[in-house]
Amino acid sequence: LSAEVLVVGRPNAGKSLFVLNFAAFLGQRALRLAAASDGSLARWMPLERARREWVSPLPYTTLEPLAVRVVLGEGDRLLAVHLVDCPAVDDGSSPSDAVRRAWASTLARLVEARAVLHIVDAGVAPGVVDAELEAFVAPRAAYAVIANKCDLPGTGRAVRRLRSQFAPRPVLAVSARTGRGFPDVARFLAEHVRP
Amino acid sequence: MRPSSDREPDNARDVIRWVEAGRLTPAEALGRLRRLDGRLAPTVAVRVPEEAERAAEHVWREIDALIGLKEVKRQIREIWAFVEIQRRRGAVGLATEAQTLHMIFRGAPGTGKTTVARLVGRLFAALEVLPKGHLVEVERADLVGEYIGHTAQKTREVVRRAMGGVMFVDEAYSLARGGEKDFGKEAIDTLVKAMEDHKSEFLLILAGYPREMAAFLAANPGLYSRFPIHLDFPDYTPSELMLITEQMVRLREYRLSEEARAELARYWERRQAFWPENAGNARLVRNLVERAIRRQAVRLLHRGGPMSREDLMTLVWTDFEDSR
Repeated sequence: LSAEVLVVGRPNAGKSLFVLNFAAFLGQRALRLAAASDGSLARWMPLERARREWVSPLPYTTLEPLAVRVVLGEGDRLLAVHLVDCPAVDDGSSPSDAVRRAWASTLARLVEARAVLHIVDAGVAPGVVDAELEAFVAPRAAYAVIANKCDLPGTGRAVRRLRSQFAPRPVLAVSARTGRGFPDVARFLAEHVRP
Repeated sequence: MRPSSDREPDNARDVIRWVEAGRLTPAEALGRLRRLDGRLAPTVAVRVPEEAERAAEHVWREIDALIGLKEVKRQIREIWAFVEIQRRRGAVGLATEAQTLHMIFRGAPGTGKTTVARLVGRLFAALEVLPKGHLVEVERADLVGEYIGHTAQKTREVVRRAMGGVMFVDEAYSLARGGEKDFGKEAIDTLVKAMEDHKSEFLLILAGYPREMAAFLAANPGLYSRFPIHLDFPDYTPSELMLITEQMVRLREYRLSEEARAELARYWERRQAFWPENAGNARLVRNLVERAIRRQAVRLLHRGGPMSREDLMTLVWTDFEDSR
């Protein structure tokens, strides 16, 4: 029993750190990374090293989707979930071939997606692409907005604004850095993701 | 004639090619994909009846895949049939039975009650008996307050969260402890009122040990009639616990050595013989497996040297032996 959950959003919303720390929260100490298109490239990496190599303050650090396998659920009902950290999508155009290719790969995955976590930076006003993501994905797949970086001051109001903007979709207040809101995300996935 | 790549993209693949070529921004592409939606893969939001049925089938397969619980499965199948026939009767204008589907789950901890409650919620959502089908798990402390009026307020808040889904009250009999003065009584009254006010808007499941639940219902005759469905969750047998162990090991991408398999089977048997109470608790399995996984890691690192994929996957009996 396994399912795929896409993690998407604009550059620097904190997708990679979210995926890594959320996996750690779910009890993964080492990560099995797979270039998401091809499971055969799977390799194990300790969490600490993944954080070093995989997360950076620069936009477009993630140009290849990477999947992390986590296990959700309880008792004898466990569900293996591949969290796929997708390259960012953004407003406007890009002169970089690599970036546009990465955009295209994310869009291609979204067309097939059955579950999507849409990460937004609570400290930054959502872009056109955020509104379009919601409009395209929410009717087609299990969908929640993750308002990230909620450890920063003043994000309470931002989350309320996001809630009204994205209503009736669930908006979960999260900090990928501190782990705040991770139980809500786990609960959301356990309730809405099916193999 | 213009080359085909210049035509307005009319399928998902071409839209995505245009993004790659820099002719559409991601936001524009998403807008186009949305308008193409009819030609893309089926959506989950728009439900046609066959799809509802497929969704129900899907949930049922999950229920059916649960280890053991034969009688519980039979009863759920029966409820499903009842709901389905009522729906079809309604569709041709025949009288339908009022659907009171609140349930009592009787069983010891770790016998699958919460798991089944969650799946029942999803089954009912698929059958469109419940709008959402999510599970809200509560216990006494979530319902009972500390001063007069507090309990009703707390209980109503929980009911509000459970709207459209399933409210699962674990150890429900504890609401009746403490006698007449206790606020538990107020929680029960508020729940009963909510069941009247919000008929068929949420499903209430009361769960607990069989004997305590029987006493609880006997002391609250008004409750008994409101819960027409009673499911019994027997303790898992040693062979079922073994199947659960294997399933859990497999899901974590480990495997059991031959010796571990044989010894574990004996271990579950022995446990049953010497410590029958709580022996059928599936939560023990998870603890056992997780500790064995940690023991295996220590063993491998201690041994050193090259480790094959096989080594990394295999749990041997000594990993379990020390962890019981």
